[in-house]
Amino acid sequence: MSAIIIAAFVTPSPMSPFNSLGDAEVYRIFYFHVPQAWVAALAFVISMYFSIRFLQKKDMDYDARAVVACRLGLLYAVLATITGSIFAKMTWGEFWNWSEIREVSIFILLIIYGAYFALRSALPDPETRASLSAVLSILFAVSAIFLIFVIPRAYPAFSQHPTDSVIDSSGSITMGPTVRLIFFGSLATFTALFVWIYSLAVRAEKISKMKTLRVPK
Amino acid sequence: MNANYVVMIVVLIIWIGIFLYLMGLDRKVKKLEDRNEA
Repeated sequence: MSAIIIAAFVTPSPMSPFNSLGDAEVYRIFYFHVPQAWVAALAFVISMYFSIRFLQKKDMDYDARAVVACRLGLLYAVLATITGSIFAKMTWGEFWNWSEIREVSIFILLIIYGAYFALRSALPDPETRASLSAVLSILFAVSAIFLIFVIPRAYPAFSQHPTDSVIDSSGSITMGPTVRLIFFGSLATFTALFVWIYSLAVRAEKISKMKTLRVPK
Repeated sequence: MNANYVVMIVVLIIWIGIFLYLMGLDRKVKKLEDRNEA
């Protein structure tokens, strides 16, 4: 990660100053913002997978894995929102714009996952909580894919967001070799970091459950 | 000093902080797992 951070700042900006809105240097945030959004989507899909497994097997271990993935997905979505807002301020002149479809879609995403955790905390029975939140996690993960990848591309007229920063409409990679190396390196590093934090959080969750079971009432 | 380098140093410090925190957490979780197994 240290190498990615250094490479992101010492190499020329990924955007040419002639094509950029505002300062071209701000476009360096692309190396961090896109991987954060990707990891958020990945976490929500992992949560959906473990929610499906929970509904099949009724094993609480799958519920714990699904919740941890949701928690991390929400954290990464918040980080992507913050970095996106910084980019918006520096290029479009304001932190938030309600007519920008990407910002509205990430806002809806944060709200629905906020509702997921609100529902979990409102249900005292672990079995009911796990079953209901598994169903919600599946529905929300499908919504997340639509909100992150489909809707902003389906309505490009409502977005100032760069659309061809990774691939263009024909599916070809638009980046030059240096930008490509740093970007995919960042994507791999963010994914590896997510895997590490996720496994750590799952292990911590298991330990806390063991401790809860051992404490006499 | 170029503003890019200032931001880079701040980001590096934040990353090193997160990394050290995660390393410490990993060690703590490992210790607790070992204690639970024993």
